[in-house]
Amino acid sequence: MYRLPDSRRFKNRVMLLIIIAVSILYVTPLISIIYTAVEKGGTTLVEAGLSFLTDLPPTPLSSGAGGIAPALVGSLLASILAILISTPVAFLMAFYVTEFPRHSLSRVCEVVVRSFSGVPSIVVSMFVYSTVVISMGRQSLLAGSLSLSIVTLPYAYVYFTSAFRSIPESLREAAMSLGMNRAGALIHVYVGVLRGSIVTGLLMSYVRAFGDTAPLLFTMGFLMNAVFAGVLQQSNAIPLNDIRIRAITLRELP
Amino acid sequence: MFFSKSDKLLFYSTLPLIGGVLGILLILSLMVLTQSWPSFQRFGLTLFTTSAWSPSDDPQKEFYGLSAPIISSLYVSALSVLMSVPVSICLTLTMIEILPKHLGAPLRYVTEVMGGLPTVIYGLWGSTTLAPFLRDQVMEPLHTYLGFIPLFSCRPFTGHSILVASMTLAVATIPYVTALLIEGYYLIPSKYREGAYSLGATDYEAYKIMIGILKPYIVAASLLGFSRALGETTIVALTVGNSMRFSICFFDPVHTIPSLIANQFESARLYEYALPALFAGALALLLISLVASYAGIRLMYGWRERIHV
Repeated sequence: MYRLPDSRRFKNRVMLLIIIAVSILYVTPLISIIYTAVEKGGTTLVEAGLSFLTDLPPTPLSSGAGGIAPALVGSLLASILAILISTPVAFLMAFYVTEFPRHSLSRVCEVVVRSFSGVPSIVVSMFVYSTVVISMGRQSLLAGSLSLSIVTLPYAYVYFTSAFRSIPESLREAAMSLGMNRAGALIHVYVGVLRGSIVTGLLMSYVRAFGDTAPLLFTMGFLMNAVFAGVLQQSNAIPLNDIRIRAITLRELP
Repeated sequence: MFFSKSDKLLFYSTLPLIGGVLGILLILSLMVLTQSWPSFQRFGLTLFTTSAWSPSDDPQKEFYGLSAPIISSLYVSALSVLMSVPVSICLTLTMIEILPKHLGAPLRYVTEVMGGLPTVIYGLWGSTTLAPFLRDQVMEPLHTYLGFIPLFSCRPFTGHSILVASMTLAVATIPYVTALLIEGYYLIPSKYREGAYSLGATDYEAYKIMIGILKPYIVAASLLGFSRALGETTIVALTVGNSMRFSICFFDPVHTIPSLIANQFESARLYEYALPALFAGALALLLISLVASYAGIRLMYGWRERIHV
C-alpha cells in the first residue's frame, strides 16, 4: 500500500495542531472575562446582596455600595420597547422581500437594509439626538429605544430573511395549491413553521439591544435618584453608568 | 410574480412600511450631511487634511482637523481584521472538520455566547485586564529589544493603545466573522472535499483546497468585520487611550472617530463649529462603512451564485 512521505505527514500533523491550538487559545479571553468580572464585582455583589439590584446608586455622602436599579430598569424597558418597534417591522419586511424577490423595490430594500447593518451605532445616536431629542427638548427613554430600534432593525431583518428562505419550497407550494393567497400562507403556514425562529430572532434582537451602549449615549440621559420616571423622561442604562465615568476620567491623556 | 389581485393589494399596502424604513435611513444620511455642512463651509477640505481639536469661545479661533482620527480608525480596524480573520478560519476548520461533533458543538456554543456579550464588557475587560497584561508582558519587552522597528518604537505608557484596542476589537468580532465563515463553508459542494481526498491529499491539504475555494467569501467576511470594527464605539473609547494625534506605533494612544465623538459630543454643543465637525467625522465614518458593507455583501452574493452552478 502507498505510504505518504514523512515530510507530508509531518506537515499535516503540525498544521492541524496549530489550527487546534489557535482555536483553543480563543476560549481564554472568555475565561479571563468571567474571571475579571467575578474578581472585581463578586465582593460588591456578595456584600450588597439582592439589594444591589433594587437600590438606588450611592450618593456622594452615603457609605454603602448602593444599587443599580435605575440602570437595570432603564436597560430592560428601553430594549423591550426597541424590539417591540423593530422586530415586527423587520419580520414584515423580510416576508415581502422573500415573497416578491424580483420586484425592484424589494431589491432596493434588500441592499439598503443589509448595508445599514454596518452603520456605526454612534451615528444613529447622533441622528436621534438631533431629531428626537432636540425637538422634544430633553433626552428620554423613548429616544433611547428609538435609537436602539434603528440599530436592531437590520439584524432582525437579516435573521428573519434567512428564516423565511429556509421554509421548504414544498410547504409554499402546498399552501398555494390549497388556494391561499400570500397573506393566508403567512398566517396559516409560515408563522407555524417559523415559530421557533421567531422566538430566537426576538431574543437575539433583545440581547443585541440590551448590550449596546453607543445608541444610548446621547439619547437616554441620566437618572440617579429614581428607578423610573416615565417613558418621556430621562432614564439610565447599565452600560452607560460605566462609560460616562470612564469617559470623564480617561478624557485627556497626554 | 403576483398570483392574484389580493397579492398585489398586499404588496402595495406595505409600501408605506417599506418606504418608511427606507425613508428613515435616507433621512439619517441626509441629516448627517446637513449637520456637518457648516464645518465644510468654514474649513473646507482642511477638515480632512489636518489634525487638530481646538475649540474656543470665539468662533473665529476654532479649528478642527479630523485626519488623525480617520486614519487611526482605519488603522485600528484593519489591524483587528488582520488578527480576527486567521483565528476565525482556524475556528471554522476546528469546529466543522477537525473536532468530532460532540466536541465541536460546545466550541460553537462558546463562540456564539461570546458574540452575544455586551460590548461594554469587552471594553471593560480590555481596559482593566488586557491593557496592563499586554503592557507588562508584551509591550515592554518588545519595546526594549525591538525598539528600532518603527512599530515598536514608542514607550508604552498606560497600556491603552492601538494594540489593545485592535486586539479587544478582534476578540469581539471573531464570533461574527466565524459565523459568516461557517455559513459559507457549509455552502461549498462536497465534491471538492471528495475530489481532494480521492487524489490522496492529507487532511491539511484538503482544508487548504477548501479554504482556497472559500477565499472570496473570506474577503467578504473581512470587509463586513471591518465595517463592524470601524463603527464600534464602546470598546474603542475604553481601550484606545483617546489622544488627538496619529501614530504608526502600536503602543501609542490615539483617537478613532467613534471615540472622539463619544468623548467630545457632550461639550461640543458649547461651541459653534465643534458639533458640525463631529458630524463631518460621522459622515466620513458612515460613507466608509456603507461602502465596505456594500462591497462585502455584493462579493458574498456573487460567490454564492457562482458556487451553485
